[in-house]
Amino acid sequence: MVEKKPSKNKKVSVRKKKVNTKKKLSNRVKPAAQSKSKKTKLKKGAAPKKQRSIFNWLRLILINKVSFILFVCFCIYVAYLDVVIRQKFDGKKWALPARVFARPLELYHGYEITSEQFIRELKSANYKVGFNSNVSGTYSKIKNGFRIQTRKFSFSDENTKSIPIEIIFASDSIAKINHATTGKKIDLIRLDPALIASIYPAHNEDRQLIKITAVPKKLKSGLIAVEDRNFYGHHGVAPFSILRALWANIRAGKVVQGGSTLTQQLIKNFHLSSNKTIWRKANEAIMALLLDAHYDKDEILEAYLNEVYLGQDGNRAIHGFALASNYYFNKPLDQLGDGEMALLIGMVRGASYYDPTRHPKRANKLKNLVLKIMLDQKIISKQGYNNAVNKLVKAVGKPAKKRKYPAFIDLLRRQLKTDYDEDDLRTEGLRIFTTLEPYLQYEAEQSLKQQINRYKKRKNLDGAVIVTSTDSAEVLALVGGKNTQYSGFNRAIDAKRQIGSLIKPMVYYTALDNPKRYTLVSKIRDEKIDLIDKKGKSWSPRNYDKQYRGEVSLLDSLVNSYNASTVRLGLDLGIINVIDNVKLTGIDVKTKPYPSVLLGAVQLSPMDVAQMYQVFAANGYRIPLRAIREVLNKDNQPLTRYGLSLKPVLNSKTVFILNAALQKVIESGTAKRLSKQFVGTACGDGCKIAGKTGTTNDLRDSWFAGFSADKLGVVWMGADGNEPIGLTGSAGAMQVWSGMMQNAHIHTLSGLPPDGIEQHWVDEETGFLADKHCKGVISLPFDKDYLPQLSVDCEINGFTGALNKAIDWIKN
Amino acid sequence: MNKVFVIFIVTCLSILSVGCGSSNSRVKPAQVVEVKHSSSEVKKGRNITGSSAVVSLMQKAQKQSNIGNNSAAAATIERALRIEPKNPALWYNLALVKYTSGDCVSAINFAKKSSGFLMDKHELAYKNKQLISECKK
Repeated sequence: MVEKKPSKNKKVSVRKKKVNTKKKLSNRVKPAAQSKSKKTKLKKGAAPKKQRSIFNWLRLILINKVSFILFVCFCIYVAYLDVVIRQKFDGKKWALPARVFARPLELYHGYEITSEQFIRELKSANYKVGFNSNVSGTYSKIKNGFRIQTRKFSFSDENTKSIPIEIIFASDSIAKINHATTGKKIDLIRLDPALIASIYPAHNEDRQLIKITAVPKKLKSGLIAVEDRNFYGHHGVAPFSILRALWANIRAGKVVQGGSTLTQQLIKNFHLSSNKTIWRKANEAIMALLLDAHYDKDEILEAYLNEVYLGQDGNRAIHGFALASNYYFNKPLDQLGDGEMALLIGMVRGASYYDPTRHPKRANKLKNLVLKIMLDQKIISKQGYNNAVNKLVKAVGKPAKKRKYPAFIDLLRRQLKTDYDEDDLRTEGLRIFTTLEPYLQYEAEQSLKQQINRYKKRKNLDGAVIVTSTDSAEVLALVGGKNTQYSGFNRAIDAKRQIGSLIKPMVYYTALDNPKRYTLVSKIRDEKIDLIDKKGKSWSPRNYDKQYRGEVSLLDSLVNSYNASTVRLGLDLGIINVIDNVKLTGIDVKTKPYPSVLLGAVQLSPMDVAQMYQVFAANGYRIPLRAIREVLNKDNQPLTRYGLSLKPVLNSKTVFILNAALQKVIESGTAKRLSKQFVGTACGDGCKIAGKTGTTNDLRDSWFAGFSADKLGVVWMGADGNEPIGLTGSAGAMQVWSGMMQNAHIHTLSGLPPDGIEQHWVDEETGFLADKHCKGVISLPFDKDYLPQLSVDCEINGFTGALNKAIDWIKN
Repeated sequence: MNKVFVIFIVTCLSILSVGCGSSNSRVKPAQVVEVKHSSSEVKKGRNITGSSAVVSLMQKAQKQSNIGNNSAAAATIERALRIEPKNPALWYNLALVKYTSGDCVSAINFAKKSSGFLMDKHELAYKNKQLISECKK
């Protein structure tokens, strides 16, 4: 006590001294020598003991101060690590990719699909051949049908179970669906949809999250037995394990053993690089202790099971046991065998080194090693061990690395962009349910490729296809070019081209919507026309065959796609009125009312054209084209539902009359080749389809837009550089349409007119009402208030006509 | 062979009486009750039929609507519409679900769409008209 007091005073004096010395040093050079002599004096002085004690105290205080500062720094650092690790754990632990699904296949009595198409659907949903009631996602072909073990799946409205079903086909449709075990009839079954894309976070990390409760006990115990036997006993770090590993490594002269606990490994995966430095190890240890202090062991284990890296698929990194199980074995975790489980556990040590697809022998050796540990630890039975150890574990084929539906995914992302941030799409684990029909997409792609291959010499020939459902406007298929797996220029959306005669139905709709003035049999002039604009530039549209027919009916003019009469009609109607009607269908047409617009000098994409024809196909209702049905969050809660919405924009009665004319285009007009191609298909021999061909100047664009009762398709063919391709609408695009729609199970258009429309027989030449048994008559729809005023007596069409007339007379 | 069903809306009038503008009406479920085939309903070849798949979906939609989950009910009716897109009863039910959830604009459009598949004198066309006029109030 007595000694300490002066020491305090000394401390003050020393400090002062120091300051003084510093001042002197800064002022002069000499004092350095002075201080040196002072030091010498002190050493040799009378009270060296006292001086020594001063220095000891000084040293001690300095050490204490530095230690104290270091300690404070350390505490701050630990607090920082604590915040970091807790944030990682409490907040969103992982960036989860968005999953994009095709439409789920709904099976019921009468659903039309061929066996080949059905197999294609199953394959796209990753079903494997070889029905096994213990393995979901398997199927076998049986006589007249299939036996399938479905997969469980979480839809927004229900969680479906994995059940065995038997499907019986009758020709190209489903006749019966039964439960394969009980034999009970099933009215409707929804299969799990095909995963068609994932939108990955940065570094392309992919994973499927799994709850600890859903992880098989064997897997958990096996992992702990192999990686960290004292997992439930330590506090995040196991010093003895580290010492043991250190000793083993010293003895071996290299790193042969690791002493990291599962907690440390998790930290390593979470935050740190793979550099084996002391600093990293120390950080790991501190964080592991913190993690262990804050969280349950099961929480830590769950995080580990979801985080661990287990392989590489191209540039996609496979993380977590759940995804690895699906990736390597096409099974959920709870269906893995002992051997498969052992292999996954072992792969934690080196996923690439033990990759079973590339190094099957090495992987099996590892599997056996893990199995032995599991046996020793009594996690598996002797019998289980024997079964698994002798069985070679085979990883299934890896999923195709090629991008399957780039054009459709492009459309999807554009539609999602309006509601979701790009970052959310990549990280929030959204589940996106789309409208894509994989089998129909295949048919569309094949048909376009085949047609383009027919003209191999035309290297620059390309095309685009879009197929939608008529009453709900769901985009069922979208092809952006002949290279269907290339994700570059999406012609279906971005190729804005002149649409040629595809515009004409809107000209005729505008006319027919004034039934007082125009019906299908109204006559218009088909004569040469010369137009001169304000600058004195002339424009003389000619018919395709360069012939003029004087006077033609509206019907003939549209069916045969006459240009001169259409321009005359359009000018009479007012070009702006035609453009306004186009706009009503939902297309943003930016054009001045030039007369050339009447012949399709409007630049639209196949998607735009589909939107316009959708209104015709849906009887005047505009339904925005949709590629998405709904978006769920990672917990399966609905975020956005893109429900059906429609609006009547065109007169449904007028549309019915127009559609009758568009059917005539296929029966007897520019697309008459098409009608023969559907004889013998599911649509029936009298299959009614409505459509229109389109060809632009110098054969630069070949278009076809057509629809049945249930499906609408638009096809464009042309060159990106706008060079002539030498194909008319019917020679090019229409053949693509035909090829895919013949396999699309389309249904014939209904001939039943809506209220206010009546079907009447008229003489084709005069347009007057006529007896249906006459020669040269045709049945056409009319607004009941504006029927043709005149009728014609005509020549009865042969003996059969006379006989039928007599029968009708008796009946009435 | 498909069963033939006629889908009636038995509580239609009670719902309509509440009106679209009333906030109370928003929570009332659309009642979709299936009744077995009646030949009087089949007019001019325009049957209102439902396959067993469609009927099972409509029953599901009814349950969803009963618990006030009209969004899910609409989604289920849309599933049915993918199976039978020209079935006027399904379009009517969709209109009704929209009506009960307060979306009168959609309700009117769906009711019009439903009537597009029917003759003017059809009972369902009459119900569509009623729904439209209630919405317009």
